[in-house]
Amino acid sequence: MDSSNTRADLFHDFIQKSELILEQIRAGEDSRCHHGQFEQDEFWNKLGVVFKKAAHEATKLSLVFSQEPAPNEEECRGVLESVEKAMIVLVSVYYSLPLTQGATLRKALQKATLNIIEGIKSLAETVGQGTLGSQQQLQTTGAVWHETDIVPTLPKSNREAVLVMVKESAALVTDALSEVQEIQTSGEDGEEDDGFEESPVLSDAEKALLAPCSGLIKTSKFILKKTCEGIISNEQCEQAEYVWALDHLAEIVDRLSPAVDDFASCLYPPLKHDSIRQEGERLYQTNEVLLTFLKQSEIKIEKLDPLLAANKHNWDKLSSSLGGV
Amino acid sequence: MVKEDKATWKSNYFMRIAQLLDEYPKCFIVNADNVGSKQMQQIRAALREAAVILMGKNTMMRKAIRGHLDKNPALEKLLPHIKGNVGLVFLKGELTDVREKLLKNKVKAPARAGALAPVHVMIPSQATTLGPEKTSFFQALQIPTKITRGCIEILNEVNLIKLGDRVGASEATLLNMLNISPFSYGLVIQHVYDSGTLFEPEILDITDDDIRARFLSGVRNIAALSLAIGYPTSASAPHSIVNGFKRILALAVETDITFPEAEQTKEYLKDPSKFAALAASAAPAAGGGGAAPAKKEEKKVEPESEESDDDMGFGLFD
Repeated sequence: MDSSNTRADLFHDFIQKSELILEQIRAGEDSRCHHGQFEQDEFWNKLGVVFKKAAHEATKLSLVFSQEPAPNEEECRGVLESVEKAMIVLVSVYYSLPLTQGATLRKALQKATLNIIEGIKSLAETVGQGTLGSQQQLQTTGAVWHETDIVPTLPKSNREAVLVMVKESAALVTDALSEVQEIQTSGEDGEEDDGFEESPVLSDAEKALLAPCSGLIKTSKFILKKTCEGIISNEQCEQAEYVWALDHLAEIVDRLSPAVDDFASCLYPPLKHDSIRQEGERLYQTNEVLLTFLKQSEIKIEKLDPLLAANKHNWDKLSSSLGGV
Repeated sequence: MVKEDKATWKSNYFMRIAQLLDEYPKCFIVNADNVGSKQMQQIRAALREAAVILMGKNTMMRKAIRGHLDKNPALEKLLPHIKGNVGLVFLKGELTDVREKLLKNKVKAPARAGALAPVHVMIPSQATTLGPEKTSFFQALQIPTKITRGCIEILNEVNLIKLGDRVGASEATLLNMLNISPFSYGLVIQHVYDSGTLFEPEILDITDDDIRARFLSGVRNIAALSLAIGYPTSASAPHSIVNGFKRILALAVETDITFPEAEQTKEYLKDPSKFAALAASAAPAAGGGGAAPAKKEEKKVEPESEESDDDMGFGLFD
């Protein structure tokens, strides 16, 4: 058999195995039981080592295929086997994080693990095409490094993982709010902005509807701000009994930014009152669920009543405006 | 660009995003701060055939991307970065080619008050056409001037705004009066998305040398570990051999035992002046290169030294 054909087979097998590993991780949890005490420091040290190992193996793969002559079949098999081993060890360390440490933390780690294996798979696909040392090969190698170098920035506890998520969501909600505020003032400066995708301008009657809409989104923004402050100031959140509460919180927060974006998207012309009502109600309810949860949970966040009142006020105002039009 | 009517604009926008997400495997997330609409048109024209630019509503882009996650879950990586004054540049060809075009389409812009300076702004010494009534501007900014033939002359070159500083109102006015447009703005690439992978734009500049350097740093770690635990590997073998040679050489220097490789060192220690004379005569002929062998020899006579600076860069261990 031609050696380049055999090499192609080896890469094909490797890519298929990588895909299997990815499917397994994407599918979710394993049934392994975690015995004994979880040693946090030891786990993160180990994770740092296996991430580094994955980066090193990817570099090796890229380097041996960077110029002529390409490695022979045996060398190629050896290199791919050691990359595969590095991936398996990585997955094994990922699975060694017990579920009791928190679903949000687990999800963050799952994402990081998936990104590395996807990066290695892309690298193998590029190298397998046979163009030694291509620009694409350098980029895919760099992309693996990018994913493996993030260990220091990964959240190390469920509290940190939830905080990252809430902050991310808060940034998107703030962005949506500024966009809605722009719609409210659009057309006032009379500028024709013909280089950008500009939306048609709303009429004054339509703009009047936007005040309670903007109020609802502003409420979401402040709820997330309060939530962030609460998690940061409440150091008890690191304790095991807070894991469930934080995961539940993350689950609700995860729904907030999509609800805000769907609602904000309705506020561009043509305004359809049914859609505004439907998406507005969805946002109002998500805000309500989040506030109710925060009030009842062990994560102590104070002064939530004004936010509950603001949420209700804006929704009442919006629904009465919609009813009146 | 002709504005679409209210009824179809939104649905067309969503359809367009969906179509672009389906059609193009790669995109740049770009920041459009300080890019005017005219410049935007120029960039679009320059990228025609090579890429498609989508600017506009972040909320709608995010909604469209979320709606597309069933088809392509990797697009989720874009979501946290669709915020602020950003847009997407979709492309199929080489990322570096399109980046090149984006960099070429930066335009000079006047300094606006409140903007962050992306570079140092220097005002060269010069004779201006400004009359003496404008002296107060220069005094306020502590720029030394004098009046020459009825106009203000700037005496020394001045660093008016430092990189990263905010442009003040006085600085902005002065620069406008002097007709200086110190900044150049264009679409700035923040992130790169390529077939499911999201990374920083710096990765587009990775070279073979970076790959080699990264590999060698791993090999050094293996060599260090091997040497520390006394477990020979192919990474540590060169160091072990060099270290062994150093010890033999040290013995040879201290005793009467000799072998061909040690003779030169022993001879040097006996009479360094002989070598100094040789090095001095070689130096003018060979230029800077002549000093290198002498330096190497000097290193050889320090067998106790922990470091050897060989070509592989492995000499950090003993």
